[in-house]
Amino acid sequence: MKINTSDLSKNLFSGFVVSLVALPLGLGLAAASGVPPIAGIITAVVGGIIVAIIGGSHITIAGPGNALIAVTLTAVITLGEGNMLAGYFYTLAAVVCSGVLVFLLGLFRFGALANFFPTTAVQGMLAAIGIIILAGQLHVMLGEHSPEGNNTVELLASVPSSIIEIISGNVDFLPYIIGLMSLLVMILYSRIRNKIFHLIPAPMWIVLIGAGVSYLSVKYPSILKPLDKDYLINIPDDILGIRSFPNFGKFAHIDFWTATLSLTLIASIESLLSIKAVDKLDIKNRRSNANKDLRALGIATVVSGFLGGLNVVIVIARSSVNANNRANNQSSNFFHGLFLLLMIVLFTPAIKLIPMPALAAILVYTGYKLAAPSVFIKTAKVGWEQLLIFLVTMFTTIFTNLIIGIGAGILITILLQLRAISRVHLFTRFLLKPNTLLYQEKDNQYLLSVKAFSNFVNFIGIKNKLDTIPTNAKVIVDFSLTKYIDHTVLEQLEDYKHSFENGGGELEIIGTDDMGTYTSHPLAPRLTTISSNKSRSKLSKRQKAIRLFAKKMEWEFNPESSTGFQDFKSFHYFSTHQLDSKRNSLKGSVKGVTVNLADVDYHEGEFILRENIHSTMVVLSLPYSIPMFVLDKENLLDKVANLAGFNDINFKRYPEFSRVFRLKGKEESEIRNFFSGALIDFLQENKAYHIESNGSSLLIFEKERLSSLSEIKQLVSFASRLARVLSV
Amino acid sequence: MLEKPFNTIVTAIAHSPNLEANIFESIRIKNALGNKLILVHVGPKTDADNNLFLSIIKEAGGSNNDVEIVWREGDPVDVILELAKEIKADLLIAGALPREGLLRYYMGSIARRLVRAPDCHCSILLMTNPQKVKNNCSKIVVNGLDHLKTPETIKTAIKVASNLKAKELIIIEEVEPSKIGARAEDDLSLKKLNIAKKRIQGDEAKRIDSILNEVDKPENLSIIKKCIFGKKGYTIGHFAETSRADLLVMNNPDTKLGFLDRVFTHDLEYILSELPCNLLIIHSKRPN
Repeated sequence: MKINTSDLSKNLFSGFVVSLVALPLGLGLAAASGVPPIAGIITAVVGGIIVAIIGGSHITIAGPGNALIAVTLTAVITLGEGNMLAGYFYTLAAVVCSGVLVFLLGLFRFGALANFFPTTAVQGMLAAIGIIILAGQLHVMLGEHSPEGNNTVELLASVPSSIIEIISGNVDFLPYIIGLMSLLVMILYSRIRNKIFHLIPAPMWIVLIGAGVSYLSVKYPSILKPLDKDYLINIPDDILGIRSFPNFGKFAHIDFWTATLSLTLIASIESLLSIKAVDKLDIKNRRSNANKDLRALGIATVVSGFLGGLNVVIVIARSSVNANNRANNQSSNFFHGLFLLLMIVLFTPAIKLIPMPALAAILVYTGYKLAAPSVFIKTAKVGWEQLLIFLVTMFTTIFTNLIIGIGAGILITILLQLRAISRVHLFTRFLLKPNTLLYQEKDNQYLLSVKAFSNFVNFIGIKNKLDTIPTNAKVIVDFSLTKYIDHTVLEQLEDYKHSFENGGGELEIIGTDDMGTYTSHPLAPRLTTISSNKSRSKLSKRQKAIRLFAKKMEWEFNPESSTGFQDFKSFHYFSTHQLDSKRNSLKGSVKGVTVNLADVDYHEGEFILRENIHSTMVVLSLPYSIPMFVLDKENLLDKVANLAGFNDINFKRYPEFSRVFRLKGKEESEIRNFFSGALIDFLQENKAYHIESNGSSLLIFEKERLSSLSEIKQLVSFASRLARVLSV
Repeated sequence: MLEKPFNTIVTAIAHSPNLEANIFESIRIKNALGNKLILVHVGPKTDADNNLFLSIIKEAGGSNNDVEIVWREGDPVDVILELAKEIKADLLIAGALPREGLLRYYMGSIARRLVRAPDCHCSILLMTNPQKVKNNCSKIVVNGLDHLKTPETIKTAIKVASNLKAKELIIIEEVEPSKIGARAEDDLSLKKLNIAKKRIQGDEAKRIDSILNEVDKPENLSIIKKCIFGKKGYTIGHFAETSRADLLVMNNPDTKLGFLDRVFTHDLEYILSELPCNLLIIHSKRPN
């Protein structure tokens, strides 16, 4: 491997930022799993170091996983039969065994395992995990030591009584105040788009505030009653001297194997889903080797289990932080492990000041994100069948366990699909038969034809075929011989669409037009027996106003949401922001320059660190090529202006322009030529927008939010006049 | 005059809605591909039937010289095979539904039983949709498997294509994906896989070219070679369906296809279970 110093420093920095997130998450995840908090750090250190060296992905972060909280906690309770410490040692043995199983999954190339589960059932299971986390952690956040209740339902039911206790003043106020404050930080973090505030990740803010408050309370006991020892995190003083060995005493017991299998299933599903999601964040658009990753995770899990740690999985939130900090290889994962080790060795006394309610708040937010109302609404929008699958999986998981839960989810999905196509023989005839054909139509163009029905059971056929196509090729997926396509397949194809677009290729789905859906959701299951009727939703006031504006301008207006953003994708700004959809697009042309305006939905970060952004943007497609640059008013959008490695280009003849604007780019002399006097005059006379060039078109926008109609008019007029200036 | 690929053609007829279409189609095929047509009816001979058949033959433009009706009794499959052997027929024509029902699939219809019969010594044409009016056959798909029987199949297909005045002949070389020897797991293995694929495609094209060099290519027929990676038998059927081919030409099976072959579908059985278009199975005179 070539070592590049600028890469190394980038990854070193990214690894550091990730370790700031990983420290509180690791401690909190372990505590919530019913094991000593240090176990979470052991997991992250071992995971970071081993997976970085032998893993098969590029910018992922390994460590303890959210979804595993529920499984690990159940394992500790059932195996320990009331004794949490004994349960911890038994669970370590289960962790070691599940590590071996995960390794075997990788060895036998089960990297496609996650594709065998219906998407909605997996989401239902994750929502159940979210509720299980919420049920336990709400109490901790509110400052309770030992909440009453043996299962999720009882724990949830006792939340109101905990709140009544707080209101009636029967409990210390400091713990729950810290807990609630921390929750507030988690909630507000993504809303406050301030550069300085965002220098430190939200979980680290919580640690700093929590530890700060608890330090002050120890220092000034007269003002604040110091926190009880039970409220503080408990880690051993001598980190290197701890010895926790797995206890294989229950090896022959059925509970042990239930725990092992659950850990294996959830660890692999969480990892595989995360790997797929993180690949989308990679600026270099590399494809991860999921099987190699599984093998690495398996080995890391075995080591971690022997050292007293938990299952090592690939985690989405931490990986997204890594991606946002522009990490570009596995060394950042390695550094994240190393920094954690350093922190825990050097700052033990400070870490011991972290209050448990603060960590619980992070997990409450995590649990909420997994089971938020928006998740339910999103599922319901696809159709009532999906909601039913979701709810059945969720409730079965809560009331029984994860394995039965996902099993129920698969069963109900199959039953609903059989009901939908109402012709069982279509299933039986093709269940064991291939149904895909892939061939090269011309150079760099492939046709993938799918027959009969296409659902989560036989999606593997499509996946295996698509995986052999280079992502810079054009692929047409033809469903005209298909009678039924389920939600899982459509959603997975949407992912493929993105990865082909990122690779410079294209994936187009045809043959679905004469298939109808029950809802207007673009990914709702499609069936030939219902005729397609496109339901038109009512336009909002703003949309009507834009439509009127478009009419006056004689431009095209399309209010419908779409995912075709070829024109937006290639800009530097979108290398760290993931595009979701665009709506309300307005299209016209001025002097041969195409002007394209749209409300663009995109996001930064993933999962609990996800920030959704909606902005109104314009793309000017020029008929000739121009140098690539980024132009910004100083401090207008700090994140964008940080085009690493390039200096601000200043013009001696236009000191005022150079003072107000920051201009960056690679080809300095070409940029100097491009910025003629007329253009600089024009830019100075007008409102300052963020302007970016990708070599053939310009991206123009003002703020990272949607624009009002008057702002749209200004933006369009600016863009049109700019087009005129450029075409002179 | 073009050389005809077949000499004696046998068609099984019975009272069915397709009777007329079957006879019309058979006579057209005889005119294009063979010299003599024998219509065999399994069941007792009646004057009414005989007159009906004769009138249809007349309407279709067949003459007594080269169209003959034979009446036999017994199990249809045995009777037809026996007759074919007796008169040294080289092409059997049978009507077949595109898809067999589940029970039918495991038991087998007459047409498919003929294909699956171990002692069938002539080529078989399964017509999925016989028509009274002439239907142009413009696109023919033929297998280009790496197999001893393939050269003869391709040569016959070219003769058939030129006699039917087809415009396009597509030779499909099916290659099992396991032959590539690489798996796409990440960017590097994907690159290796595509290099391996290119190499195999090159080898396959060479092999087909050496077969094509031995025959005279008809002028108006464009011959296309395509190497497709996928399950043998299934892939070519799916291709014929998506490309809307009029005729699919295949090698005859090496072994007798039994009940188990239908349970664990493979090769030709994929096509027999769901006929994408008319299917011509060439009986190779070479030993297996």
